[in-house]
Amino acid sequence: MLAWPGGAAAGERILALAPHVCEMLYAVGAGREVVGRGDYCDYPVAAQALPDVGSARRIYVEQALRLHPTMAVVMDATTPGVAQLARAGVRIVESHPATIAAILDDMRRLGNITGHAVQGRQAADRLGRRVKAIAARVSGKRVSVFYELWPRPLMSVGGDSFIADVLHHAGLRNIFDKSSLESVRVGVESVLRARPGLVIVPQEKQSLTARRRFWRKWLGPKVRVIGMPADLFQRPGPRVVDGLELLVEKVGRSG
Amino acid sequence: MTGMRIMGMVVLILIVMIIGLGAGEHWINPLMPGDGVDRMILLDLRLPRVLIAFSVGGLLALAGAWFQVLLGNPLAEPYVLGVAGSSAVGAIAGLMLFPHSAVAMSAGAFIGAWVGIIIVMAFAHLGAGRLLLAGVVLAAFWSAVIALMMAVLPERGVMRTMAWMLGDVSRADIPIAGLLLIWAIALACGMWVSRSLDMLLLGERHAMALGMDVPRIRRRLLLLASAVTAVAVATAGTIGFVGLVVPHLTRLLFGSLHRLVIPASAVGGGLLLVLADTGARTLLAPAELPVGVLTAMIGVPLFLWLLVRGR
Repeated sequence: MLAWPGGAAAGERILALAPHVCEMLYAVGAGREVVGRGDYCDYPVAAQALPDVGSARRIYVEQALRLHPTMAVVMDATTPGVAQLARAGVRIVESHPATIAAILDDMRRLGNITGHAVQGRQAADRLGRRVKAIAARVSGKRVSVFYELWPRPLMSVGGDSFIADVLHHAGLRNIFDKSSLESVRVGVESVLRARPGLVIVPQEKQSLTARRRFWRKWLGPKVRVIGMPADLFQRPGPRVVDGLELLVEKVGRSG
Repeated sequence: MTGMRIMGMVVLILIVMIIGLGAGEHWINPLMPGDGVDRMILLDLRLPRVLIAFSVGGLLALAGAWFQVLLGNPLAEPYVLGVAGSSAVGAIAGLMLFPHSAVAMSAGAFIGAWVGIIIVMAFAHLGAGRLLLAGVVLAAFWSAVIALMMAVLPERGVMRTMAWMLGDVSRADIPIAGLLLIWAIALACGMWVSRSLDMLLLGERHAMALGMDVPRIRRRLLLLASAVTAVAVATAGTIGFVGLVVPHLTRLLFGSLHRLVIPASAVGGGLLLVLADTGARTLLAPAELPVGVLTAMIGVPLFLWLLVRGR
């Protein structure tokens, strides 16, 4: 299939098919070239107005092609529908960063391929400086932490996960670091045994009070249970640095 | 002879209970747990889990034994008439309507199970073969509804649904005494109908010739087996293989008299599920596996071995 008219880098028509991709593209100044988005791409607000052409489970190929895209940035190129986009001549770019450093790299890379190299580099460097500043702030003593990815079934994150990397940057020690699984189903027993001093609950709508009551029952009244906005923490996008700063502040605040 | 069997069963229960309570990420001596965290883990986490697994496994095996006689089919198991599907639909509906409620999935599963049962009951008068066929077709229908619901469910809901469908006995909100009581009542009912089961096994014509009101007994059995399945499913989600394999295992070991098959199934199903759950939380500790995976991994080889040996 032929390239669309004006197929040069500056005239890209981009599909941002994962929430973190959406945030990155806007952050590197490619927001105006984004013509379609995936499910859950709700930040920045401007992205919400774009047509929704797929989810993490499936790309709606017809709707996507109707937008005449030249490039699709996806989390996983094996998602059903991606191959059809590629066959229709859409350039497929993958972005699945597993560390904060990889997020910054991906921002530079996306800046490059969308014709916003300078902005991409600057945005990544700014974030990099903030991450460094945090590293200087966190003390040597590492508090052990249980990250409650999901309450039922009880799930946490393994050492190779993106979230574990964020926890390390915040000066915390993830109690399930030894597990190589990205997300790991665990029992209350293992958490009890590891005796974390801190429990982090990503908040969407579930009540922090209920989870605090639950964990205090098991781990004693002294355990600290803090909530974190899930969007900032579980998306490997530029706002994770906001999340990191917020976490360090919350951990530091109550001693 | 019976005394020996009872003794053997008691010893087996004790051994499995000690394994179930003791094994885990770390071994805890169940008789001397000490103080502090070990005691808490033993009494508040492992003991409830072992008791839930035991009663749910027992209920599933009883239901399986009943369905196998009722439908005159060795392949029958508690979910054969689509009860697993309809209860899963109910559970997902509960999750969709009340995403933050702890009991919505169980309540939904229980209601869903009964909806499925009531629909199946409408075909009960057709006889075993057609009832089975109706059940299989209904099961296909329910799985289509499940697929539809999963397609529109947010990702986290899908995760929770998948976990539910593979079985989970680690729930903290189960009234355990009540569950054990239901297990005991189910066992008593099973003993009570065991002679009818033996007669049904001879064939319906023989049973009728012996003066049995076959349609009435069949309806009762269907209701009983379904009620037991509904309780099991609402408690622990759908756990496969226990209901299929355990009744056959007990028949291979004890013969086909239901006076023996019923209690042996009620206990054997319980023990199998306790072992499976112990494996699920031990094998990859601290990671946990879905218990449904383990029931298949333990149950199937054991069953095949006995099939070959029994010839």
